[in-house]
Parts: sequence; C-alpha cells; structure tokens
Amino acid sequence: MDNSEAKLLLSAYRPDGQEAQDPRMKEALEQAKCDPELAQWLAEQQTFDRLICDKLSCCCVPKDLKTTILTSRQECLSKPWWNHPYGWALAAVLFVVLGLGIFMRPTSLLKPTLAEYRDDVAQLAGSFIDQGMNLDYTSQEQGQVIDWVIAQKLASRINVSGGIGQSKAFGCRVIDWRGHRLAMVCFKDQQNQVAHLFILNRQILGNLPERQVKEITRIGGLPIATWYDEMNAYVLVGHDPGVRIADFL
Amino acid sequence: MDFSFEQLVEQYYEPLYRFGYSLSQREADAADLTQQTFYRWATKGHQLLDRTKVKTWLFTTLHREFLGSRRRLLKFPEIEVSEVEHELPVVISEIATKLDGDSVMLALQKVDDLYRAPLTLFYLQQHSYQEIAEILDIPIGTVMSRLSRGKQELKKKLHQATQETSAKIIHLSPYQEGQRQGESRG
Repeated sequence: MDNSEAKLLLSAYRPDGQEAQDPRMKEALEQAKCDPELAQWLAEQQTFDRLICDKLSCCCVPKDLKTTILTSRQECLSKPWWNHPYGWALAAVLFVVLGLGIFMRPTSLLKPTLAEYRDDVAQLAGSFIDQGMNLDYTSQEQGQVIDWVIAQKLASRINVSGGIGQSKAFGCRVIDWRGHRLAMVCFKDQQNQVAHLFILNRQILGNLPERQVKEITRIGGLPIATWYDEMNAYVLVGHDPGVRIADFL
Repeated sequence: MDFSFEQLVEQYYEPLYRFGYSLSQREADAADLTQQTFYRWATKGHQLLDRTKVKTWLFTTLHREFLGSRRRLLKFPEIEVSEVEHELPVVISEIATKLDGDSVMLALQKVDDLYRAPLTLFYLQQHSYQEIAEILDIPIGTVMSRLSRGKQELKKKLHQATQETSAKIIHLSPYQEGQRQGESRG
C-alpha cells in the first residue's frame, strides 16, 4: 500500500477511532506509525475532522421539531380496535372461527399455498422497491451468487435456465417469510431490465398444483411469474411495471 | 433490539435534521424531510426485518425522500484513486476554528452534491464508511474517494467563508465606520 492509497483509506477513518480494528484501516494505521509524513497528515486530518464534527453538532435544530414529529405520529395513528364498541365481540368471533378452522383442516392444508407465497412475496418486493433494499451478498458472477445461496442452505440446487440463465445475477438477500428462510436473487438482463427471483424449498408449501406451468400475472402493477420444479418454488417479480417478465423465462 | 417510536425520535431526529439540512439547504425542507422520514417509519417501519438496521433505514429513507423531492436524477460518476492523490489536504483547522456551527454547515452546503451526502454522514459521526455505502447505495471505494475529495472541497469553502467573514469585519471596523459616517456627514 502506498501513501496515497493509505490516505484515501484514512479519509474514512472517524476521528473517534471507531474503525481502529477494521482490517482495511489497520494496515493504513500501521503504515502511518512508520511514516512520519503520513503520521503528520493523519494527525492534521483528525484535528480537522474532530473540529468539523464538533461544529456540526452545534448546528441549530428547530426547537419544536421533536414535538411536531411526535404530535404528527399521534394524529396518524388510528383508534385501536379494542376501543371500538364491537372490537372485543368481533375479536372473539374471529378467534373461535379461526380456531375451529385450524383444528378442522387437514395437516397438509396448514402449509401455505403457492398463491399465498406469490402474493406475500409480491407485496414484499413492492415494499423493497418503494423503500429501497440492501443486499446481503453482491457479485458480478452469477455462479458466485448461486453458490452463496446454496452455502447459506437456502436451496440445495437452483435451476436457472431460459432468460434468467442468460441474465446477470448481481446480488441476493435472505428473507424471513412465515418462519422460513428464502432467497431473493436479483438479475439484470441484456436490455437492463431488473427482476428479483424468490426461491423457496417447495416442501414448505402445501397443495401444489399437479401441472407445473409457469404462470404470469400482475400484482400491485408489478409483473410476476410463478413456477416450481422438483426442488424449489420460484416467484419472479419485475422491478418495475415496464419489465417484460416473459423475457426472463 | 427494539425501540419505541419516542426513543427513535429522541436518538435520531437531530442528526437526521442536520443531514436533511445539508442536502436540501433549507431549514423548512430539512424539517419536512425529517418528519416525513419518521412518518415512513411509523407506517412502514414494521416491514424492516433486521431491527439492527434501524439507523441505516432512517438515513436511507431520508436520502431517498430528498432525491424524490428533487425530481431529477442525480448521476454520480465514479472517481479513481489516482484523481485524488495530488489533492490531499492542506491543514486549515485554524480557519474552521474561527467559524460557528451554522457557518460550517453553510460551507458544507456549498460543497458539490456528489460529496455532500457522504461527508455529512461522516461528520455526523453516526456512520461508518460501510454504512454510508449502504445508505447511499454506492461502493465502499467510492465512499472513500468522495470523502477524500469532499474534505478537500470543504476546506476550500471554509477558507472562502473565513475570507468573507474577515471582509465583513474589516468593512465594519470602527475606523471605517467612522470614515463612512464622516463621509455621509460631509
């Protein structure tokens, strides 16, 4: 590592030394100990950074902002159900009906269905797209992304063929769904269309239809494809309404 | 790890406001962005599966709200390490010492958009470079180069701010003030 590289790294070193144990920083810090010019630069940098931190923490915040935020929240909260005159009666009826329903259903029916999986995942994808999302693993190599999913025991094998096979996987994320872990792998095709493939062990689902057909639909405006193979159940969600989901199949 | 809404507000409304102020450059917009961020949390926060990421979620949301409110796409070109090598700092801590918090914030607001967001997150001392990369959705290497470049630019802006302040002080010195009054009387 040369000094310019060390300086670049140390530019992100916070003045309170929170990153002292960071392996990237350690090497640069060690170098600064041995190099007086770099040590001098770091000391000046730290003084400047500490000063700016102190100055910014003195920057005024409107006095009533906190109260306004807390008040706005109170206004947006709806009246709780237990304050409603019929709330308790309705809850009791629902409890009895659901309880009876659960006890009387065959065990296989207790498992979520493919449609429930698809609908939940579509909703989840919609909120990720609206709110932004973070990926647990990123790589430009599709093979590495798939290997990572398998290493996380999210699937023992993944069949990526057709348009998905031609697309580039760029990252994935682990999702907790109804107490089960599933993988979301993000793909980009040659037209720069982005789609997210959710992969779930098919044993978790009950009542899978006998015919394995790829179904295409729209939920919340987003194009969705659903199918399964002998190992997994897949839901592919287009990142925006304009994505031609069939291109990935 | 779980927080009540009040605890979150208590802990983060000030740094969120300062981040919003640095981005939007207007106090009212910063207050709106902060409020909108907590409103999002109140309505959609339950969807966050990893509760250790609350802080990152809040700052990411504010940043997205800001980008959305500007209604224009920001393009962030990548900066190579070699580009910043020759520009690493000249110490001007003594300059910054002369300025108050609001003046430093004003100087920060004059820094190019590209560098301002990572720089503010860094100086709010709430975020590691990995978290900044996550919030702004940019690679770690880019965070480092933007911090390096941003600090350089901030120093220039602080230097300008100090010069402007000195100019004002000179203009209002008793000698000049007396002269001005004399001139107006004469």
